[in-house]
Formats: sequence, C-alpha cells, structure tokens
Amino acid sequence: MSKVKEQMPTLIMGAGLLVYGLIAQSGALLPIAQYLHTHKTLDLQVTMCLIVGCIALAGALVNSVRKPGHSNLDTFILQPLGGIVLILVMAMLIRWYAEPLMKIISQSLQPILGFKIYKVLNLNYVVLGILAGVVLTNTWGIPKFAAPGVKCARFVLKMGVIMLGARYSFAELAKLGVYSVFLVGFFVLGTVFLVLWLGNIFKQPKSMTGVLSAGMGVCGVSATVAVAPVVKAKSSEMAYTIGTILSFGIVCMFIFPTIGKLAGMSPVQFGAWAGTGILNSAQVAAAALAFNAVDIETLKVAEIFNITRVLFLPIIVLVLATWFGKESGHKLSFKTVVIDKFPVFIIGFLILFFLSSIGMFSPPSHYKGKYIDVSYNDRTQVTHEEWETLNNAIAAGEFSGLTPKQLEAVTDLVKQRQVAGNFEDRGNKKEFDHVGRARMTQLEGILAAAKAKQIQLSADVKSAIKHAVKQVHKKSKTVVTLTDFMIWFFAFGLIGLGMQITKKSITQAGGWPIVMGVIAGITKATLSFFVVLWLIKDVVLN
Amino acid sequence: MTEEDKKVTIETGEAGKGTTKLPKDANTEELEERALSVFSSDRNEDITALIFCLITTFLVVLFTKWLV
Amino acid sequence: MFSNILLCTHGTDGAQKAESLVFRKQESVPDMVVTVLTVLDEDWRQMTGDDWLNSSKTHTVFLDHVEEQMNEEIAEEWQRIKKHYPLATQAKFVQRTGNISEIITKTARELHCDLIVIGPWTRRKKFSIHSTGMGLRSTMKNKELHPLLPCPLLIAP
Repeated sequence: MSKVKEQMPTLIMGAGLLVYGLIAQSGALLPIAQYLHTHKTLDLQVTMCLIVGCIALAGALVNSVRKPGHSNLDTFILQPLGGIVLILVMAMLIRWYAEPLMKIISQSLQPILGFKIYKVLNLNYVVLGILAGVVLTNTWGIPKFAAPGVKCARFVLKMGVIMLGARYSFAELAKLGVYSVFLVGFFVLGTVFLVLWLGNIFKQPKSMTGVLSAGMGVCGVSATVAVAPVVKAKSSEMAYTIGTILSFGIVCMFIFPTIGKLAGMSPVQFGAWAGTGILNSAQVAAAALAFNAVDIETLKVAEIFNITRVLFLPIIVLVLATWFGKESGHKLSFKTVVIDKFPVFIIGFLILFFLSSIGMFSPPSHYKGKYIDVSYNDRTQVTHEEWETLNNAIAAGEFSGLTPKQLEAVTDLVKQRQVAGNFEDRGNKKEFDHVGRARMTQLEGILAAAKAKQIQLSADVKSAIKHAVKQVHKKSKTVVTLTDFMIWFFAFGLIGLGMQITKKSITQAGGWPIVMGVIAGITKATLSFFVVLWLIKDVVLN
Repeated sequence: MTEEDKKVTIETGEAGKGTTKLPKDANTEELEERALSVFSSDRNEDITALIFCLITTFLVVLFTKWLV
Repeated sequence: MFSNILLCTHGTDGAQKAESLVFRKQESVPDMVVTVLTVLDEDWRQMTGDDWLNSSKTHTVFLDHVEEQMNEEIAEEWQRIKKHYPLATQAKFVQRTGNISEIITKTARELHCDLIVIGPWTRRKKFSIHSTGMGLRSTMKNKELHPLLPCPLLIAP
C-alpha cells in the first residue's frame, strides 16, 4: 500500500492533466484562455496534457504494482517519472497561466505604481520558472517523489543546446564564433588575471584567489567546482566563493535584461553581452530568454558564447594548475583535462548544425525552406512592446491615411498580436490561410506606402509592422517545430536547475571573495557592455 | 589491516575509466546520490541526449516534411 | 551527576565556550566520559548549485576534495583542543556526516550520553571579510533539534 501512497502525487498530476486536457478539448476553457491571450495554444495544451497525463498515469500505476529494480527501465523511466511530470506541470502552469496573469496584473497595477512590474523585472516564463524552482526548493524542499526526476534537468538542458544547433547557418556560426572567441577569450583571461592581481594586493592565499578567479572568469560555479580540487581550496574559501557567485549571478539574471532594454541593445548585442558578462551558464540562457522569450535570436548568440566558455574551461583549469605549481592537489595532463572532459553534447550540437546545413529541415518545394505561415504560434507574435506601440498608435489615430482594408489588417494585428486569419475560422484551414495572407499583403502595402512617404508613420510603428510581417515568413514547419521542442527543453532544464539553488548556498557569500568577486564581476560586466556596444553592430541573423 | 584492504572497488563506467577505489566504510548510497544525474556516466548522458535529439528530429522531419 | 557527555564543536567562538565549560568541569569530575563530536554538514552536496556543465566525475572529485579538506581541518581543530585542554587527550573524538541536528541526537543515543553540550548562538558578522572558521556557515534550529533530543541539552554561556 505504501507504494501506492508514494505514487499518489504522480497519479494525481496525471489524472489532473487528463481532466484538464479533456475540459480544454471540449472548448469550455476558451473564454478564460481568450482573456489570458493563450487561446492560440489551446490545441497544444490539449495534446500535451493528454499525452503527459496518460504517461504519468500509466507510469504511476506500473510503479505502484511493480517491485522497484535496477533495470534501465527503472532508472531512466519509472523512477524519474514523478519529477519529470512535476517540472512539466510547473512549466505548463507558468507558460499558460502564471505569465499571462502576471502581464494582466502588472498592466492593471500600472496606474498605481507608475511602471509595469513584469517589464522591469522581466517576469516572463523563463524567469518565473527559475523563481518557481528556487522557491519550491527553499520552502518545501524538492518533494521526495520528484528527486530523481529533477536530476534529469541537466540532461534536458543539454538536449535543448543540441537542438539549438539546427538554427544556425554557416555564416552566422562563423561570424559569431569569431566574435565569441575574441570576446570570451579576452574577458576570461582578463578577469582571471584581475582576480589574481587583486588577491595579490589584498594579500590573500593562493588557493582562494585561484578558485575565485576561475569562478569569476569562466562559468561560475561550474568552474569553481572544477578548479577547487586543483588549487586545494579551503572549505570556507569554497563556501564563500560559491555563495558569492550564486548571488551575483541571480542579481545579474534580473538586472542584465532590464539594462539591455534600457540601453536599446539589439538581440545580438544583448546575447553577446550576457554571454560574456554573466557568470553561470544556466543564467546566461535564462537572461537571454528573459530579454526576448519570443524570438530566439538572443538565445542563439548567447549560447554560442556559452559554448565557447565551456571550451575555455579546461584551458583555465590547466593555466591555474600551472600557476598553483607543484602543491596542486591533482595531477593533470592535457589528456585528462581536455580530451576526457570534452563535452560530447557539443558534438551533438554540431551534428544538428550539419544536418540543417545540408537542407535536411527545409521542405524541397521551398527555396531555402522559406514560406509563409499564418497559423497560430507563440513565436509568430509581435513582442509585447510592439503590441503596445501599435495599440497606442491606433488610439492616437496615427493610421488615418490608410485604406479601410489596410486599417482592418492593422486592427486585427493588434487584436491577435500576429498576422493570421480569423480565430473563428481556424478549423477551415483554407479560409484561414487566405485571410491571413491577404492581411499580410495589406501590411506590406502599408510599409511600402510609408517608404514612399505617402503616409507618415513613426519608426517604432514601422518596425513593429515589419516584425509582424517577418514573423510569418517562416523557415519551415520542421524548423518551427524543432524550435518549439527546443524552447520546452530549455524551460524544463532551467526550472530543474532553479530547484538546485538553495538559500543556504547563497547565504554563504562573504569573506574576501565577496569583495574581490564584486569588484571583478562589475568590472567585467561594465567593460563587456561597452566593448559589445562598440564592436557588435553589423551581425544580422536570419 | 593494510591500507589496500580498507578499500573496495566499484564500477564507475566509461568516464571513470572502469573502476574507482573507495574506503570500505564510505557511504556508497551517498556516493550514488552525488551523481547529479540519473546516468552512470557523463558520456552516457551526452550520448543519450544526442540520440534522443536525433529521434525527436527524425519524428519532426517525418511528420512535418516527409508525410506532408 | 552527568557522567557521559557529548560535546559538539566545530571551532567557532561559541563552540569554544562549550569546550572550555566541559573540560574545566572535567577537572573536578575526573571519571566523566567526554565525546567530542564534529559534524560535517551534508549540505555540501547542494553547494554545486545550478552547475550543469561539469560531469558527474568532476562533481565527485569536488566532493571528495571537500571531504578531504574538511577532514584535515577537523583534525587540526581536534589538535587544537588537545593542545589547549590536556584532559582532552582522554576524550573520544567522533566525526560524522549528515544533517547536524539529526546526527547530534543520533550519536548521543548511540553512545548513551546523558548530556549534550553545545555553544551559544552568536550573532554572526554577516559580511566580515575575515574567515570565521571552517565549513559552511550553518546553524541549528532549536525547533528542529529539540524534538529529537534523547537527553538534556546544555548551552554553554
């Protein structure tokens, strides 16, 4: 009986998902979904809830009758199932309910507060997901039934990075690669030496500056963990360093996207800045998605920087081992550090990149896979800022010079936040497509008229319309679906990693590491901000 | 008891290059928990991730390209 | 009155008060049995935070290093106690890993101790830049420790 009790949470979640899926399918949730602006994802909601619900129920039932063993089935599917379902449920709740609600609430609080909460704190589903993970761990703790599943977060995040490989072209990868090697190389080595130098000034032990310099220079806690045994760090030094890096990283995760938006950085610039300035690599992905959760351009840039840093890590370990000299705790050779530790998932990234380069994911009938798709999709929407611009422009009567048809297209764009057919016609694909394409043509007409100076439009409005039109010129259904998978992988992985940040580890921050860490971290963030703004201007991603 | 007798040998898979020696009184349950993931080695995890991705990709390509 | 004492210390200022209390008392009660317990906080396992880049092996190497380092530091602590209080050489020294409150009470039960002595709670200097001892800066919570107690608890002033 105890086994059934253990499986209770999974059973309840599975049943809940099934019930929700069935209710959603009946159409009863349409009014709520429309209020939350999530009605376009209803089909996806139904599919995901039914599939995940069935798997959760089946798994929980098997678990409650089967004797736990050590087979692959147990280790990889049955045991982690509870945790995987929990994270998925959290991800779904956040994407479909918490994030839209947050937007509506902060919209209504704007008159009182004078600003929008979600905008200042970038509370989109990625940040909310990490926060939810952190809160769960530090209040109730990770539930026992979920512990093995939470361990899968790292695995799923790796899958996200591999899938991301499908989104690059040769030119992009080459260009971004060069930038990232120079920027990351410069700032990694720069920070490492800065911290070592600071340690010298403040007369701190070598073991401490060694750990701290790696942590501040390369990729945060990962580097600290890798370097600590090499430089024989003392216990308090490790605790201080990790605490400092974790708290600094969390602050960065919130501040970077806000500063980036205030400074008007382009997605590429922000990705490069986050990739250089933020310490922990999970937080780089989070900040990139926080800056722009709709497009993945920022993420594309930031991940290249991330991968470059991962490749730099062994080099730094070697450098520090040499610097620390003979007292070094572990014997290291080029082979043990570089070859044995080479992350295989980066090869996976390259394989998907290769597959995409040979045209695997683009339909044969389209040149380079480009075609127009006006069907509903989260990522086809304009950003919230653009939507506000358009909404205000309509209210201000800025579109007075338009033909009725053009005006209808703009009004619908504001209503639906994307170029599409009528929501009521979504069952009739042909009609839906036809109307959507006609609207797109009207919008293109507006842009042409504005270019010919027949009508006056502000630059913001023009760019918003341009973006909306660009969004429906999609690469291919295949690429879009792959990207959707990738986004879910990232969301899953980041929530799971959030669950591994404990309050206790953050509050260990202190000692000399916090002084030197803050100096080095702020210097690095500030310098890289200006270098990125100055250096990266012309990279345009498809 | 000699130093060698106090140790046990455990299987740690590819990444650990076969086996590792541990003190006999070490808490092996704890050691198991130390691993951050459900996989026995890092290489296994990466390769599984890659295979999963290829399967996902294949299914996506199958349903959105070849069968359409 | 008390003959079998469990002294919990991890070298902080507060814990040193407990040490001096116990060993000064022992001077007058020579047949008192003292066990010095140092607990290695299990939360070290969570100190790797949201790191996802390192392999499990790197993690194991890191945690092994932590354990090794802590053992060294604990050995130094014990050496200091032995040097400071000559009577401490007769005491038994025990080191355990786990949740602090649970381990203290479990050890007391196993060794049939009739008194547990700990140091007082001291306000920690939050951002002092000087090292405040070894290990994680962790404190026990009374509400976690008290329900588990098998014998009286004495807090050294």
